[in-house]
Amino acid sequence: MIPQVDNRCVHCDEPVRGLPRFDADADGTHSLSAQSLPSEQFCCSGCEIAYHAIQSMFDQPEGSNPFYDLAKGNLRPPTQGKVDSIQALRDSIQMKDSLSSAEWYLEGVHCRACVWLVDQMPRAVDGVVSARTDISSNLLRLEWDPEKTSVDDIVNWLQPLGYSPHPTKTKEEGGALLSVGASALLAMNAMMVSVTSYGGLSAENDYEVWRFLSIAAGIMATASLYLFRFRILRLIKSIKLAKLPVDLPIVIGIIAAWFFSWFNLYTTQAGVKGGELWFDAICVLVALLLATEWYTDRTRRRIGQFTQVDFSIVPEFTTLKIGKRIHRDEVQVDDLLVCEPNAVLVSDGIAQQNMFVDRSVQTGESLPINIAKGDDLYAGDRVLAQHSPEGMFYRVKVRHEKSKLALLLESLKSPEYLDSDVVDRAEKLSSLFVKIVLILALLASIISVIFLGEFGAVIAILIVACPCGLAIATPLSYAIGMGQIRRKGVLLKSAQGIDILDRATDIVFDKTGTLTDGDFRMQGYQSTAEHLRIANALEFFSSHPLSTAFSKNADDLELDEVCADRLGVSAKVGSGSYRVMGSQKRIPAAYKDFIAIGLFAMSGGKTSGEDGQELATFYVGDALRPESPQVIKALKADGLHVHVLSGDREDKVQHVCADLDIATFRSSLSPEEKASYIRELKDKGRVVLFLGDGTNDALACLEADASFVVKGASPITFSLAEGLLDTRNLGSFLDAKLFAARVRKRTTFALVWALIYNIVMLAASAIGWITPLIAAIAMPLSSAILVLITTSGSQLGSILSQSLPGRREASSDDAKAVLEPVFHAKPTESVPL
Amino acid sequence: MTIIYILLPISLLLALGAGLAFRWAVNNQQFDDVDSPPIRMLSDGKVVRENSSPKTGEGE
Repeated sequence: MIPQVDNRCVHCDEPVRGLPRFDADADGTHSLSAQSLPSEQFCCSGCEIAYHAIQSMFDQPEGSNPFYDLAKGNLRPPTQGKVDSIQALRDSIQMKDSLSSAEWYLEGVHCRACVWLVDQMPRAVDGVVSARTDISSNLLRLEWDPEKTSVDDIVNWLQPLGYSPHPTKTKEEGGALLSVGASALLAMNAMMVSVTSYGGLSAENDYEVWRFLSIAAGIMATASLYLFRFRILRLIKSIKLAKLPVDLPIVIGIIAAWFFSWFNLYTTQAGVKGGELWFDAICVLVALLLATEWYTDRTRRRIGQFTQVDFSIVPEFTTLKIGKRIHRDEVQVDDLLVCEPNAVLVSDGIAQQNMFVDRSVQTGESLPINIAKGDDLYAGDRVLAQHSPEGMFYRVKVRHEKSKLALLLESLKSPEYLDSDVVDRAEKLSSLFVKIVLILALLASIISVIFLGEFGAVIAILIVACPCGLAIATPLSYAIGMGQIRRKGVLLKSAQGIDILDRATDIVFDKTGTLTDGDFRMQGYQSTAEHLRIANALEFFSSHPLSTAFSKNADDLELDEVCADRLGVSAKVGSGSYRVMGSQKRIPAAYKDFIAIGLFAMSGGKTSGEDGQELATFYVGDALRPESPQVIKALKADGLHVHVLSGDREDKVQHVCADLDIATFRSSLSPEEKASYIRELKDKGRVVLFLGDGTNDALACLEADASFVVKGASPITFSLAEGLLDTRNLGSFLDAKLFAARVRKRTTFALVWALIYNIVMLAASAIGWITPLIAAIAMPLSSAILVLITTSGSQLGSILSQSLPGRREASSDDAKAVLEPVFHAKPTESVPL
Repeated sequence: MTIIYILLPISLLLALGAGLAFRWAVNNQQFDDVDSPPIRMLSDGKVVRENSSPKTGEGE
């Protein structure tokens, strides 16, 4: 077992895992006592960077930092994410009165401390005029003086604090909300007018006043219809595409009611009780429909803000060996290109030197690969910085648009994938419902015309038959569910995500980065505190992914003659020379899954390290997430089949799966093989949900019925997935599943209720029982009951306030809930209705 | 019934006023962000040092 230390991260208060206490073992080497551990511990390098960045911004002594006073345990570990493209951010700038302004999605804003810190930007960055962060939509509105500061300065200020700006295209539109307000106002006034008719006013007793008020109501209904015009146009469009949208009967009813109400108004003579007028009903329905649409749209937009990501992983420009910068489209086959340190290659080619390459874009495995001279390199590979006096180059084999990566991206856009959309069950169900209602309305109309000889009853039937349950309750229920799930740290892009979450029979996991942490952490070491300091200082200069496990807070150690190459880093510290590189000791059994890095003492400034004495050993690795076993257990207990697909080596995958008690797994898979495995499952009639993270999971994401990605996933995979786990905790997935089940139960119940209501009311109106008064009372009552059903599940009030999209300022209890997800609450728990 | 000719314009004016007030509120982004202002209130008066750029330990 890995020794666990019960310490919490100074920044985010998450438990620090793995690190660092290590007692003397069989080797008899020195051990580190708990007392000599650093007092500040971090769960990840992101937290460490953010903590020191924030501390450096205050004069106060440590401990009374306003940021942490405000945050009070609500922080989540930041993603030290890369900004997709500074150029894209620059493109989003607008100029106004010699000031630049921009609106960006700011990833990483979680709580009031975040809002406060980002709002401080005008004070902290010279030239920034105003900065406003919206906690519910993560939008940052900025204004700055381009003479004094630049996008780069702003990004450089935000990034260490753990916030990554992304360009955004979606904008909150005031127009829709204005329509909702106007239609509500019209509805209120139309209802006020109709009160007179309940009081007994009719054409029989006071024709003048009746006519005056009815025309007023008619004008209001006409204005309502005008506000509703976009919805009607959209409906006509979807009918042309041979679809039966949910709101078809309701819209037919509204339009028909409008025509017949005007018709009845004009044909009614003084002193006669004329036909019914439905103007108030029209206004109320339009207001309800517009409000529902606005609410669901806002929920979807806020969640979807981050989906507009840039597909380009490959840089636009590269450098020829002769030193000329060229655009990637100008690169020709056989060109010799420079492998710039830590930059991504633009095309496939052949290495001209030995080098270390990070191929995580393709394989999902972040451990670098050793590339020898003459080996293949691929677009998307990142060449790690290393000491190489003459530079590193590669010869281009194919043009960049023909590279393996470009072809993969192209296949994602192909119609084969775009058309193979899973048939939405909810849509199927609702179109069935629409058919039933239309047929029933038709039958009722025929009966009433034949037996009562009254044509006006048809309109009553159409209005009464309006399935508010479908047009209002269903979208509302899903929007509320998406809001609730978002509060648990899972962002859903579509209602389909909820359906599949609940219906899935098979859950397929990627291993690295999904079941495991995905980044390297110090799992233990045999070292003195002094040696740990030196190793930290040296590893700072390494671009090797393993170096992220070392503390980035290298203190005041003076380093000389730093030399970083592909095997390690060497430097002079004080009077001694040191080098970090792969350990030469036998790895103890407890650490056999990890990689050992040694700190060597060098004699006489040699850099080879062959004869150095190994002073300390550090065990670094990517361990299983601590909650993974519980999540898998809960899923299995729920009767789900769990699979693991990995691009990693057989023995490693086997080991992880043994720990998790998963029998079905595949290893060393290519992206295509992952996708075909899922396709086979689907061919057997299973509903497949996929959880992954890397670009290599993109095809699998497309193939699965729905896919979720974990925080820090590649932008491509993210853009294809239905959901994002925005916390570091896989347990949030179980929470999301629980809520999805509730949403679906609520929706089904609402549909059943709506159907019963429609049948009863249709029958009543067919025999002429429905008067305007009854209709006016029954309709809002039925809608109110439906809204109650859809918002039930806990106290209405709290749900209503919680479900406001993006209300994420969590209480301290919620912060605990994020750490300790609802393992105790079984996802099958029944929903109180 | 003549009272209606006085009451009606008054009620119309009131409705118009409410409508205009709502339009003003929407256009002034009063409903765009209803969650952040109550949070901001709690942190009033707390500030960072002027021109403080975050340091990452090594001047990254």
